[in-house]
Amino acid sequence: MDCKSCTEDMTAYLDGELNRARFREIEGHLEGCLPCLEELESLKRSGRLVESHLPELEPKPEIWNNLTAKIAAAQETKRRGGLLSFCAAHRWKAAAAAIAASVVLATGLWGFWNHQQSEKALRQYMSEYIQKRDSHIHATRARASDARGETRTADSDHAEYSDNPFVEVRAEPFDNPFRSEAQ
Amino acid sequence: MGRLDSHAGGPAINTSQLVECIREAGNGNLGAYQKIYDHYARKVLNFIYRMVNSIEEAEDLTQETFTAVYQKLATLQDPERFEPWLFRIARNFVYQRYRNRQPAMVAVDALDEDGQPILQIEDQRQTPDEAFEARELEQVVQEAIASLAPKYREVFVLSAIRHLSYQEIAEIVGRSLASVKTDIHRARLDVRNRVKHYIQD
Repeated sequence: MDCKSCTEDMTAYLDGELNRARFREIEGHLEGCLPCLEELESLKRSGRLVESHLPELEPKPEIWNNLTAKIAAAQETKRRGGLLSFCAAHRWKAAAAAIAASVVLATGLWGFWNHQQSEKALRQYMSEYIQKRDSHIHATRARASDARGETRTADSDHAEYSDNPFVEVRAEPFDNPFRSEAQ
Repeated sequence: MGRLDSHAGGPAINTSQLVECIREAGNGNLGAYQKIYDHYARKVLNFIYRMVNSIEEAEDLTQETFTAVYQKLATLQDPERFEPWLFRIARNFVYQRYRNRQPAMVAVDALDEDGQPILQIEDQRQTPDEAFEARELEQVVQEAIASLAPKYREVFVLSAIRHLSYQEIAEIVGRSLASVKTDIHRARLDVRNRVKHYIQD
């Protein structure tokens, strides 16, 4: 080993950063080389001088106080920001949900109104139909009895059913169940 | 420099206590974080101070560092690597602060025309008879460190003063172990050359 190689690793040797083999090589060289030993001694002394004559700053209490205040402020901002950003992040979802709910409600109302309208129309139709049917039956029977020269009575329309136990014989035509509502 | 003091470290804390404090502080326990702070604040403050050469800036950046560390603590993968991680954050704040302005921390006379540090600087100052007085020696040592280029100054402080391992220093400065080893040696030689008049028999 030459002096250059020894000097290059001298600081690592002092800091205990060499592997065992390299450490022994350096030690072996130092045993027989006065200039390298002097260089080593010089580095050791300067190291001791620096350590013993380098005053250090003492941290002021304000540093801790200020940083805890800063941490608290940051946490508060984060908490508030968190709530706001939650609302901001979900505003489109909230809007979409509101629109969907409105559509469902409107569809329901429209369907209900539509159903009411068709119900009304059906009742109207049935009422008119029954009315027409009754007047047609009545007219047909009147023409038939006129042709036979019979005197029409209120009961004569139903006379042919008078012996039928399943037919309710009555003078007045059946009530039109749809009339009251449709008209 | 009235507040400059001797070399004592912060309150002692062993590795298992540190890991426990990191875990608790990561969950928002400020009391646990104060223990970590008490142990490391002085080391970080003085590392930053050596880098920026301004007490006010060093205090400000120390506060920034420990605020950021508290907020990032939950993301620390390996609590046993806390110290290199802490110094890396402190170092980042130092470089961030000085990125956009000509830093006082770069000693212009320590660079040659290629921007490379001139390492073998011959100290031309005369050695006065009274130079061995402690006060003056402190001045000499501080000037010797301040004259190093930042790249050398940071590894010098971390190795010669903080006694971190080369592996930890490589992690902090983000350079290879071989490069860090070379830089530390060059920095030590440079400081030695600047103080050599005071270490002769």
